Amino acid sequence: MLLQGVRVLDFGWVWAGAVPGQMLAFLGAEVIKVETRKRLDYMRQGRAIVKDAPDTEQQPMFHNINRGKLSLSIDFTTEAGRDLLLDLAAHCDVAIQNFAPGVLDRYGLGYEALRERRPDLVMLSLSGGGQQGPLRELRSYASTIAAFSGLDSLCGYPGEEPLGVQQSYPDPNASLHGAVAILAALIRRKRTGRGDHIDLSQLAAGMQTSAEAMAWLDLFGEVPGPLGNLPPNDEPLHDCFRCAGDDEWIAVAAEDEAQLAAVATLTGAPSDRRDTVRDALERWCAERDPRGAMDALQAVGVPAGAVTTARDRFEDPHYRARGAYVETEHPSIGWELVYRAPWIWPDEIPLANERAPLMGEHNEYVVCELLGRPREDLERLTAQQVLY
Amino acid sequence: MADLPDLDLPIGGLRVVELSERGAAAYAGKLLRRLGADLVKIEPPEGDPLRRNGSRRHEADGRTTTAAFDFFNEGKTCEVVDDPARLRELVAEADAFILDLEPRRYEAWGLDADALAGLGCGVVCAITPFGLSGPYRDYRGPEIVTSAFGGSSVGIGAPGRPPLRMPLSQTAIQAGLVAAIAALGSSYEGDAHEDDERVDAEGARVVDISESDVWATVHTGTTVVSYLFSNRLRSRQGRRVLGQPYPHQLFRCSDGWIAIQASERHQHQLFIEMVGSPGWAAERRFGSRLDMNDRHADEVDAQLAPWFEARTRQQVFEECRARNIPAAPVRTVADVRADADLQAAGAFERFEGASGVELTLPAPPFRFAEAELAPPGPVPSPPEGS
Repeated sequence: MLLQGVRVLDFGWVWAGAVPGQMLAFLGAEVIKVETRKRLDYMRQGRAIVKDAPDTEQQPMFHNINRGKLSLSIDFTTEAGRDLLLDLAAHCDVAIQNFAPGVLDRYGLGYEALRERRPDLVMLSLSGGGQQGPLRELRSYASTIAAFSGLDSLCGYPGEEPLGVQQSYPDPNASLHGAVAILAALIRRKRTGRGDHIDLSQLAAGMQTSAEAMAWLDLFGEVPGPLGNLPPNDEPLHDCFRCAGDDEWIAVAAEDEAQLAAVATLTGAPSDRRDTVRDALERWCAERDPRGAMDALQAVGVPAGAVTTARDRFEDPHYRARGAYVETEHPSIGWELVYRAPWIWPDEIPLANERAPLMGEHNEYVVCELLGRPREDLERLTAQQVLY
Repeated sequence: MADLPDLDLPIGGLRVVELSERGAAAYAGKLLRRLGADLVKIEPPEGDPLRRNGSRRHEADGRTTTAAFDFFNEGKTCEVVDDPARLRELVAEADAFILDLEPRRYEAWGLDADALAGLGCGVVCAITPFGLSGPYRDYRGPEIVTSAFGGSSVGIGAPGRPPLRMPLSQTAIQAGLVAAIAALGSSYEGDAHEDDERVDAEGARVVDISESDVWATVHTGTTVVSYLFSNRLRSRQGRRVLGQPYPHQLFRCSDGWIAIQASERHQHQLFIEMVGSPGWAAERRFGSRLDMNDRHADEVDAQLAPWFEARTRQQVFEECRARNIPAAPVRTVADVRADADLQAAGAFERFEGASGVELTLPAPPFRFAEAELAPPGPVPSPPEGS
């Protein structure tokens, strides 16, 4: 079903590069993560959680964004490594990579080289500023894309200087745009037999998130600064309010006068004037926990949502009921929770791997089963630290 | 499938119907149209509500639009539908139906959230604020609510002050992306140009897409297990992020701010060299790079302030680029649009908005070596008499 039978050669690493392949894995594709101890994926690095277990296998972040994949550990800077990957490319439908532009070409594994072995390959190359042009050399992280795309300038308290979005939002944002493009190219390949090479700039993907503010330049002749919790227009109430407890908050939006009146009634405000209702809501929230306040406001038709921390989401009955986080057993650290696919699919899509792979866990599968090479090859390449 | 799909367009001829009231289905529809889908946007006689609300409104010569409506809906063909039977007819002919109604709005369209499978198209991507199941399924969720509940707002803002929502229409964009992925994944399997046509006698496949879940999984999901193992909760820290090596923050230059993130050891060293290898940087009391960030950042920032304030954003940016330290000036959207490199790369495109204003906005971010994108087009006018 779905992408079953689609195989992905996944050079994607860190965050933005890892998630396009994961989306395909969530749709049933067999995604082979290509990685090496010689230059560890940044997401495999960090402080150990369990003593005596291999350090590379202890990063929950890695386990989240690589769940569903297989792992081939291989040093592709060696000739034998490159040859093996070229052989593997012949068995793959999709390739994904987010190295700096030119890196894979330098090792003989760029689009043209892979396409010689797999003429209808669909390949995604994701980089900070795209594969061509003056921004090609841009080195970026999510944080710098947020600044460069204009998004950071919109985050902060109105009338003050910007604070920035301060989360890796531009990473998964780019990944999801990449997954859309790969799937579209796969559909075309099915019809025409032709592959394609997709050039996705993370900056250009980030600019989709600030585009609406660019429309302000033309529509209003204004350069927007930090927007904070300002309402889109003249909605009567639109902010976050402090609740009982330590740094607990709730977001509330009364989008019209009827909802404002409902807030007034609920909180016992002496009138429907905006400032009066706001004062009453502030007092009312201060005596309640965010979840209880959310239920009470939603019960009278007023949009409200607790400002959740990771702990809140872990404990939340709604996220629990929907299985937003799934329990897995990881060989290295044992029980852990990882996020599920961002949808609930009507019929279960079997994953090629229920958890994130251990480094090189599927070397034998790739070398002996997929490529049909003898076991001696596996052992020799392992001893030579080609499979490494 | 249309009779003769344009095979230069990645998904030429794929039939998609969009019913959007809150932006998410419209962003999915925009991407799919540009990739080649035959897209029909269904609107009620009074028009998509996003034409007036949910994003900043613009009125000129009696014509109304919003900034988000224009960005999400360029080039679309609309069909005004006021009869549920006509809606069902249109949807039955489609490969994919993408809608983002709040559950309470289903009845107005003659739909039933629990009976979407009976619509007869290939796949239904049902986007709602909280999903089609669970205790909050009927709750309402504009952007400020889903941003909060999904776990993004908790990290934006200053300590002790209110959390801030993701600006503009980020929930719509992210849920729209997920819907587009689901629609394409489903259509790949069901594409009629191969022999393996899907047996769909049981009706449409209904994919339940909760906007809160989209935030809570692929965006903020990784923080949950980090909390369970490290007991660390993300919090508002102004212009930096905790739990990362120093620096991972904004610095004030003479003319504005610059973001610098030197996560890797060698990048940190290059950063210290860039600011003149000051003696204090090697002092043991700052501990690890992580300690420097989480415990001493204010003190370190104060030491570095004169260096940054003596330079412009552009000067610091160039110094960082010369050393391959990831950095970028905090640019306004006007700065971005004036970027000659982006203009030369064709990153922007022009089209007329629904209030008659000529807009210059970012083009879709992906380029295909072979296939083409459908061109941008004018934003459709509101239905007559709305």
